[in-house]
Amino acid sequence: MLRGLTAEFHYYYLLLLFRMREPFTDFRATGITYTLYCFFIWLLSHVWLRFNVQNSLFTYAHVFLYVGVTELLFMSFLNLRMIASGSEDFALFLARPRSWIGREVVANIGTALGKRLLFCLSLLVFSFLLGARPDSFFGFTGRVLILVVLLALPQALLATLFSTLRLSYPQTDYFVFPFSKLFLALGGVFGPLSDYGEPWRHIFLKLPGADLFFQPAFFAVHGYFYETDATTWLLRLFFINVGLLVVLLFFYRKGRRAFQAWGG
Amino acid sequence: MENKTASAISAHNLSKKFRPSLPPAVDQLDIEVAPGESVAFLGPNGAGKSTTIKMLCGILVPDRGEAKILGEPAGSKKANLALGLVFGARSQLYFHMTVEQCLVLQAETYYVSGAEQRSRIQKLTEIFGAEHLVKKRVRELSLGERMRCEIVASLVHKPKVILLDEPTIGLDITAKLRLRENLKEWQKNEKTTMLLTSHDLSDVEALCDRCILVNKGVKAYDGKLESVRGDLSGVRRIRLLLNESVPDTSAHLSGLTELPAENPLEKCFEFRLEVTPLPKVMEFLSLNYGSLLQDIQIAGVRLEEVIQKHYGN
Repeated sequence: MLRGLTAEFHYYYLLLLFRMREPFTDFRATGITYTLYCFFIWLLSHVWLRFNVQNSLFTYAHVFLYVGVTELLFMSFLNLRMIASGSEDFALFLARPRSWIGREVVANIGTALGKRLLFCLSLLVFSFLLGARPDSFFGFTGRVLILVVLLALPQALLATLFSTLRLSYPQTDYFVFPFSKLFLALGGVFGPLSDYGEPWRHIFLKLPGADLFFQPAFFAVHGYFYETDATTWLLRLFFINVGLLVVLLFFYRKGRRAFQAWGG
Repeated sequence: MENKTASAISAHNLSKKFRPSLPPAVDQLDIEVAPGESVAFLGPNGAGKSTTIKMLCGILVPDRGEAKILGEPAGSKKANLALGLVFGARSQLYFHMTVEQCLVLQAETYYVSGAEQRSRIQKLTEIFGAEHLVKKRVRELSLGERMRCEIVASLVHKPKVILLDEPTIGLDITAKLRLRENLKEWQKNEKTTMLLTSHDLSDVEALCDRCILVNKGVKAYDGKLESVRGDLSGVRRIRLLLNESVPDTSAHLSGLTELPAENPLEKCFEFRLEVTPLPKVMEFLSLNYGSLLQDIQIAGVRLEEVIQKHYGN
């Protein structure tokens, strides 16, 4: 029993490690992405401050880091190529002694961690170069790293859910882009939800997008959550994960039945 | 309890229909492959070949009948542990990882760890000439190198049954020959049961002793590869290359039929060994074309033609 569990753990650990390392292997080719990412953050920060300078609770450095964290989460949020390759591996895993769903979730966690660590590294370097230093370097870095780890699971569950949906509904591909853009608007990736006017601020704060993007970024910059506390946020994150898992398992069973009946 | 003589692959009354309005993709198919056998599974496009393979490895669930791998239901964990898969058109390796990482992960997928894992990887990479590739990233490999690594990955858990779907697709002739040799050697030593589907019949001739032909979802032939030629096995074709073009002569040998030639300097004939003995044919050709003869080729009927005849097309 213990040996079996160790073997399972070892497999998933290796999978996680390899997938985490993947984004680092091609850094020479993708380095430009990470540089452009920081230019984009700089641009967005200036745009936001220009239009909201009277109302904003954020300084330039705060906005830069806030946008940096939301974009770090968003740019590695839902990747159509990963979603497609996940569902394309489904058939192979029906002929293998491992669970596809377990493998997909762990692989997606690994990819999210790897990519987000690279974005984080880039953000830290450019925050110094572009004069947007965090108040406390170690505090900010520590908070971002904790968030990156905590938010890898909902990200992986959501990506796996989309891969699963593709099994029953190939049209899912067309839905991924607008769906992720919803989070862009409602999750405060355009700019901090705390700067939004009422009634939208309160409405948006109640949606899952706020828990996955706005609150983590606000926490990373300020060290506390906006109009909530850490326990409530963690509870909400827990329920988001449970909800995603239930929906994922439902569509997995449905997708598997359809796939095995109609072919892959 | 399973007995030791259980089939490596067995399918009974296997049937699959995708739509009520369409004829079945596979209709009451029976297959038995003994342990250690090497069988080609052939059929034209749409014959039900892929559907059958998918049912054998648990990807599809049959409407009726059952498929088993070493006595275990297809798709079950035990069956999957005994199964190795090679899909020529579908990579099992991860593009950005090194070959070594992919092989380690593949071995772990099948619960092969530690010293056993290391020795398996080393042995297989040696056999398939992939030792120098293990540190490379998959994206840096040529197609031939990648296919060698794909096969190593499929064999890393020492499967008792291996399903190969177009393993040499897209490979150049050198890579193809090398891969076939490696596979044949492997199969001979390990006594792995092999089920091969390929549109390249030279793969089939090189690797298999037996073949199963399916057409429109039903079995059209099941037997030794050498017997698949049936009454065509005695047919021989002779192609003469001459110095100059020769008009048709009135000379005639019973049983020797002239075939259309590709150019005026060629003469092609067909005959049956059992009807017209070879010495008699050679004597006739020497008498009529000997002084003009530049080259001569004698061949049997190609396997492609034999298979085409079975398909009734």
